[in-house]
Amino acid sequence: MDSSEIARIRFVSENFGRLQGLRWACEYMAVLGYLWAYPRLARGGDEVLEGLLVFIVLCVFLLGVYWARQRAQEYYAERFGSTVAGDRNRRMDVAAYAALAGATVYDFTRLGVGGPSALLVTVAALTTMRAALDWPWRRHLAAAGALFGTMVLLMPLPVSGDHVRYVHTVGTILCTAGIVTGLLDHRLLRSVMARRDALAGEGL
Amino acid sequence: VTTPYEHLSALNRLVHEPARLAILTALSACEEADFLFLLNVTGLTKGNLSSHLSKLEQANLVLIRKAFEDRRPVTYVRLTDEGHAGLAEYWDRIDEVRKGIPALTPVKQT
Repeated sequence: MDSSEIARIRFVSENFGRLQGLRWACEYMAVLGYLWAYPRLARGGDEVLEGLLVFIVLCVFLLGVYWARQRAQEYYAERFGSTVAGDRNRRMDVAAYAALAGATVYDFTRLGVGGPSALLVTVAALTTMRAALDWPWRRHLAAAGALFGTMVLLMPLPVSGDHVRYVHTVGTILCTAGIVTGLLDHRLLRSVMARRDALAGEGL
Repeated sequence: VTTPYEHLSALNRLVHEPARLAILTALSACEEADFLFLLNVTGLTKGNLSSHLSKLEQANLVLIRKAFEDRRPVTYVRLTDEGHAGLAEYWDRIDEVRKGIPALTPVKQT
């Protein structure tokens, strides 16, 4: 067993939850579906009826996400097993979610003012940091980080006007990148796990 | 001064064995893992994994917990404090061996 084998085992064990890309891909697909459905539902007609319709569609999407997530979780548990992440990983994830939530709230308070989007800056920074921490395994995250970095420059917050269109465009790109990276993470997990007999003949 | 040979001879044989080192490495990077995960990540057979886990449990390096989930038995394994310390000590010794190797001079044969 060489050092690359040790590095592989440590990487998989440490990042097993993060590599379960189908779980994230399902969530991003649902958000993307909702983003595309929303403008078609809210067309400025009867407010009560539209509100009810948007609420029902949101509930259907949330149920769909829950169902798909459960199935994906079952698939991973039955196919690859399960782990409980270490405290350090949990703390990092909570910090990342808090940063994203804070950036989103900050962006919403500044819509109409213009300037770079705090959400995009945060996503670009977090994605690049994750790509660096998991180098060279999750190289595809570096491409995603570069994409979000470019978006920071090309898509500042709107100075005035159509906020819905901005959220729609940014959300579409974020979700599409999330789906692609989720599928690539899933493929990576399959490839790094498929090492049967790696230790065969080593004094077993 | 301790030589690389002395560090090598002081390595914990229980940890140094490749399959057990793989198991301990996997467990050191998470809080707890189930048997199926260890089976997949190490590439060992069920029999080999069970046998190595028993040895590690006897040496108090891992803690094995059996539970039922959806009426199916699941075995969870985690490193004990002793296991964490043993693995850390093992890597420290390996580092010492690595550092000491360049200082060794070949013996000239006459």
